Amino acid sequence: MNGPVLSVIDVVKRFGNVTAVNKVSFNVFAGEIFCLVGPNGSGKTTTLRIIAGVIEPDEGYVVFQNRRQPWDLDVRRLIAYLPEDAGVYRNLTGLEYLRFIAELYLTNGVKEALEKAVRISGLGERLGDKIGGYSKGMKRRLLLAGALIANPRLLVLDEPTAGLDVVHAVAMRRIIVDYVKGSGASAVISSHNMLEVSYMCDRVSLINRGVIVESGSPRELLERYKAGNLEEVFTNITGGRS
Amino acid sequence: MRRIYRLIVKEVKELVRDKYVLFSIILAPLIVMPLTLGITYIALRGVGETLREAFRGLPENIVVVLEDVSDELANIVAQKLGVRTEYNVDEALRKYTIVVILHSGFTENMLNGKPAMVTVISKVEKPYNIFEQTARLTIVGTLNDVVRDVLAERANLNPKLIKSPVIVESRILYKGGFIDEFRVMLVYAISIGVEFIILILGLLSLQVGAISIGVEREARTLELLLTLPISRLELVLGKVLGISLISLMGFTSFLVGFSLSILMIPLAFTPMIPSVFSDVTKGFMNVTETPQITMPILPLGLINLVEELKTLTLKVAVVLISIALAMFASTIFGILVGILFVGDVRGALTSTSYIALILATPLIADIIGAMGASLPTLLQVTFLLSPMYPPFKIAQSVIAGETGLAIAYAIATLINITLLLLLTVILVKSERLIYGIRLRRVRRSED
Repeated sequence: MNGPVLSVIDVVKRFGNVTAVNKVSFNVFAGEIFCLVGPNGSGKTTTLRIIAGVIEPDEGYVVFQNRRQPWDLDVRRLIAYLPEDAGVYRNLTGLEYLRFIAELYLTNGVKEALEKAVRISGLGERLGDKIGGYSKGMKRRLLLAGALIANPRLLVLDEPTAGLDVVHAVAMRRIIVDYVKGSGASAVISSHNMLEVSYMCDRVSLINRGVIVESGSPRELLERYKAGNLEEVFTNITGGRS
Repeated sequence: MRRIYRLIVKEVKELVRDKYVLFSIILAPLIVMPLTLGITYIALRGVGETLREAFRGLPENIVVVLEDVSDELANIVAQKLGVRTEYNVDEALRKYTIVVILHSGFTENMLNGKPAMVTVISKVEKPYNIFEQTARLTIVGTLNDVVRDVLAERANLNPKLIKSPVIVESRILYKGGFIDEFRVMLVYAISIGVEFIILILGLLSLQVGAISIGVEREARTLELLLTLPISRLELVLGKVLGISLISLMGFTSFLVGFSLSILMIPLAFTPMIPSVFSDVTKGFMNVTETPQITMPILPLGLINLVEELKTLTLKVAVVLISIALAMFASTIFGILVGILFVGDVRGALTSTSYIALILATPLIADIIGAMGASLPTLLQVTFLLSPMYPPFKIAQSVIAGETGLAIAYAIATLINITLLLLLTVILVKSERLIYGIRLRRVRRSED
């Protein structure tokens, strides 16, 4: 078996006297969707930001394709990050946004990449409209299409389906799973939606108060804690406290 | 009533507890007003010192040259002025700073009711100084009064009946060449125009720059933007140049709007007022005698300008580039302010007006203190930190034909912009600044 594509090693991040992330470690392999699951304020977003290179850890480090942070521009081209509640440029059209992203990432093949992104977004003619007029689900799909535009080898998605209706959420999950399985890339996804996690994640780490408290595939976790769903597993481990 | 009271309490608490609002609305004026006005007062004192400098040692430095040694009234005028007399212009120019030449035919002209011809040559080191000009014109006025008194005594007339007995041509000797008062005024007027443009454009760029980071933050596009495969420098440059383009568009419409408003000036006048105005002026002229200064059909200043036509295009180009540089630097400064306010649009915007006042102070002080007036050196060095000041000085120096100074200020501008860019690129990197507010919220919720 090949080694991990992404390794997060003993990462610590403090804000003032609060430790948001405390010695978090995990590996992600090729073709794998790894999920970080935990309640609000548990350190998921901070961990993903550290992986994406937006903020630096106080201790520990991150390795991607045998390269250590900080990421240079070549590495950043291979990582697509979609922040939680990421905003949009309201006065650009969907197509203008996709072209903006494509041209920043790619030197050639922009046209093909753009066609692919248009297909992924599933927004059709609405891509000619200003993004300001899109629904939340449409915005999210546009951003995801933008994230996938340059064939990233690592997806870092923070709560990709939070706040979306069933139709959009299902479509988003399908796009993500199809991309990862089709390209052999890797994905790190945060979520507090346990149902979603059981559907799409190959491996899960449960995080609470900045500490990873349990890891395994969804099936393993259910068996280990003899639970009906991941919510029960989480409540068992934390004793209902977060 | 109680509900309104609750609302007021909420509003005040919410605003006062925001440290950026606190700074920009309550703290900033306390710092900015004394600073700005203080510097303005120093500039005003500079004016006083310039005037005193201009007048100091006048009797020693002023000399009268008689073109016709035997001219009767010219001799009397020279005597009454209480200064030394010479007979050779070149000789006089070597020894004195102000040379008053009473031309031949002085007495004859006056006795025939014609004005006598006088040329005043002033040797100067800082030519485009409006206050030294004032001093020179005062000398011309004094000369006018003396000549009138002498003529009145000789012709046994009431001095008040004599109008403008002399025509004075005031010429300025600077670096071996002559310029005239017209050119001094021209240069001064153009500089003020350029300053006005730079102030407006700079303020515009500063504001747009200051909110640009905050707008991205509030739209939640900043985080994604920061992870794109672009360097910090590219990010900042992209923002600055994009914003500068917008400011330029804003400036173009400002110019158009301003030109339109000039067309509307006649709206201010009723048909009656001009005649009343001229009557008032006439009455005023009868009471106070004003010296008549020659304005040749093609003043020396214009002649020089025509000669300079070849370099004029270059000058205009440099002035335009200076304006663009001022705009560019102000935008970076604005972005810097935006970053320092951690992307808080409200804080950045409210404080911009005060920050703009601080940044504009050097330009205002420079114009009040007149070009080349001696402000304290330390103050002038501090002025170089304003994103608008060094580019303005490039333009000003070029307009005045001071190439050496222009180059010096171009270097200062370059340093200024480089430092601003460097600081911005370093700070835009800082996660604490980008996430400051949000991280504090997270912390609070976890406590």
